[in-house]
Amino acid sequence: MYGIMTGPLRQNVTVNHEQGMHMIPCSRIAQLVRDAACEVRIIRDDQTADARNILDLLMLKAEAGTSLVVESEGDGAELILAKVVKLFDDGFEVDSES
Amino acid sequence: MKLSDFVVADSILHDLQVGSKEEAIRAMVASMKAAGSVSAEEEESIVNKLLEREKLGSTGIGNGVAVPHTKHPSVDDLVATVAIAKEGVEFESLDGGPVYILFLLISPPDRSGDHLRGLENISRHLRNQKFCSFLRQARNREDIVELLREADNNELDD
Repeated sequence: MYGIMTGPLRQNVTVNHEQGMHMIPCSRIAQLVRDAACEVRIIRDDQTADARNILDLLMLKAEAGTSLVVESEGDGAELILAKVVKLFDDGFEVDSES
Repeated sequence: MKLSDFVVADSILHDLQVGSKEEAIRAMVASMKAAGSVSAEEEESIVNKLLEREKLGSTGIGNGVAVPHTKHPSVDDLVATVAIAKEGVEFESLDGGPVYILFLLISPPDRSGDHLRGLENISRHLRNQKFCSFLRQARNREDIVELLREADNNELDD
């Protein structure tokens, strides 16, 4: 079903957490994708972060309301994309504390 | 924003020798108190906030680096310190390894933008292998202050 090579999958997300993407949200993303077989990237304008790398993610400096693109490519790309998007939609499942 | 804008030079510890995460955090906050950047009355409260934050998930983010941080009403501006633990400290890091380089940040509660900018600034430099390698080789506080200055001026870029 996914045997045909296609380009990366992409979905727009908005940072839905009043404190922005501080270290806990970045850690949650990195942990979620750590064991994925595919590439996962978070993109802000012309800046691309490897979703496994917390330092990369912190460098996006994404405050509340920032629009980002989640991109995944490779085995299981569709599933991991949905999981990452859900994490954004759920506000990273964290309180407002740092 | 530059490292020198918020890292308190007099509080830097070039040879942190501790046996645990809590001891590391206590030593770094004590050094900030000694440098006058946090008050003695607030020291324990700040340490407790930092330890509470660690319970939400370790700030040991892998590759021998930890960035313990918290928000606290006793500071008016973002303040930070640096410590180098040459023997390494167990920090429950995400990659399971000890940490050798610690950046500790305290920011005012109502300034999440500054907090993110401080984290971004530190992250940018910690991605630089040369910066991390030189930090771990620092012989004294002055070496670290000089490295921070060089990093601010992009003199360590590959």
